[in-house]
Amino acid sequence: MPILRPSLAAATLVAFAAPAAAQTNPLEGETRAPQAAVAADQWGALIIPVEARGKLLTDADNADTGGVAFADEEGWYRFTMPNGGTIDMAGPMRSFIFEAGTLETRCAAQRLPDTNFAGFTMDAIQAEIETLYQPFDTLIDALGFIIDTRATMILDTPGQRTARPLRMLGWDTHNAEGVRATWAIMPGPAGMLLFACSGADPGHHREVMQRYLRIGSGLTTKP
Amino acid sequence: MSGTDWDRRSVLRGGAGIMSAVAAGGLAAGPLQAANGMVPLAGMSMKNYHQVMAKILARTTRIAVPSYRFGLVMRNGMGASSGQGSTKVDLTADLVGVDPAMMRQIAHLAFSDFIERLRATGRTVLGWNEISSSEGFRKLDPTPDPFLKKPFADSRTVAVVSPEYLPLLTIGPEAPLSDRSPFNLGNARALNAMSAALKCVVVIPSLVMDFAALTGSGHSTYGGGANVGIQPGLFLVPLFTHCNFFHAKIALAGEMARVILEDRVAVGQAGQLVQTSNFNNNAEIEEWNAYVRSNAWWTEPNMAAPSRPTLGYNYSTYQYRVDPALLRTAVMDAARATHGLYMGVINANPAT
Repeated sequence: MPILRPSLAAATLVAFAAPAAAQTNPLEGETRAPQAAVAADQWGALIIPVEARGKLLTDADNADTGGVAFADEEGWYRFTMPNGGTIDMAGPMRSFIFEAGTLETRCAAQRLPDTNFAGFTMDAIQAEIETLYQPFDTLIDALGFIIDTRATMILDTPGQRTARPLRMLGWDTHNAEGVRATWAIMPGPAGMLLFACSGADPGHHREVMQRYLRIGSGLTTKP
Repeated sequence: MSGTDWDRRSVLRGGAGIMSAVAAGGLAAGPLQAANGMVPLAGMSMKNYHQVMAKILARTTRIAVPSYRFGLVMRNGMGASSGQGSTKVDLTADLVGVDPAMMRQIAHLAFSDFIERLRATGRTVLGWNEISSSEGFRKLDPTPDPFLKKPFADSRTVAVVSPEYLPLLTIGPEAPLSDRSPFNLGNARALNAMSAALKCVVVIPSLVMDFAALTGSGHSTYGGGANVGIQPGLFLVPLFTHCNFFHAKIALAGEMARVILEDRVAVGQAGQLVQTSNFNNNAEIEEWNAYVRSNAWWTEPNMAAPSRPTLGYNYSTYQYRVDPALLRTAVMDAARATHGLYMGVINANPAT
């Protein structure tokens, strides 16, 4: 594995209180026009059109609440901020600042091009993903965070039938300043996607990633 | 993990047989997971489901979802005996740390995920104004929320809720997780009426989870031992976890499709299993065994010998104490995986 030292300086990670518990019926109101079916590849990764990449666009699913979504320039991921938010760039790292529920949440993403996995299919990588924690522990250490727990996250995409849900490596961590963050790595044939969130607690961080992060076909296919 | 494992012959005959009450041996040896012998969540596929009549999904692009049900097994138990009841073991386990408000919040999160995925299939998902103004909706007879059910001849007690803004609906054919008889067709007719009037397929998913897998040796007349075991861990309950689809061209009669989970699916841990009480006669049996193993009965013929136990028993109670954040995460993992498969069924039957 390569030695990776991405900086998260731009993503100041802030801890907040517990999430709000308000319930709003997602069906509220009149019947909406049907949205276009989501296109996914054989592993359940989103096929992101080239013209939508690298842009922060209105998210049709969350238009009523000012929701926006950013699709990665290389089509590796799509991240939704359901109540709106801003993006920034700090070196190679993309940051997202938004409210999840009533909590200010900060997430960050970085593409790590890597040919180590280029010889494997996504299926093969997913099958062995639990064995990949150890090599990447050093990366989390290098970022200055202390690992509390390691737990794989299940990322799913709509419309799948036979594809198994994509799983992503996850570390719940804290640093010397008391900042709590959950780090995630999704290895794929094109490289590795590093993603991190900090908000309230590890459960909140994971919920944000599972709900709003979608892997794109740019990562699951060999470049 | 073995909760208790007793040998009747040891109890009644003593001698060389060593009576052993292996109370919660697995707990001491390190927690085994409910995942043993189950399908892991990440490996769940349509192979673990039974599909009936899914082709009705091809009849229209419009879908209405008037209810969503989320259930948790709150109490489970298992008993075993042998030798005409001379050896008895029994355990009861409760889910602790969950209340209806928490369950409704989880149901809301799961329902939101379901709707998000449904919209992503490209189907028209009916808004609440259209659903709630239909005649069929007005005819629905909701079940009181939370709905508690202990099915007949089943040691489980299940609590079922819906999000606070949705009615909790059950129909007769969903027995045993229903509060009405199989002959009560009221809600089925109302759903048919809704389908016919709105020209849509009506979908009602149901997600039910248990916190422990219990095993037991049953009740035998001649068997030599009795044992029960408990494996803590959240898993999706087969049969109770399903998705129903209704379609009717006329209000009087329609067709129903079902996608039903057939296998137990291990989701993970969301708390800790704690033994809260244990009532047994281990000491009495051990005293008898020690006496029989010694030669005191020969060398001290006038000693006051312990009385010979005629019954071996061991009753235990457990609590699965839930961490709310872990429970929410685990349920949402299960919901996402399950919903993804339901959407696959919908996509596999495209409406023309």
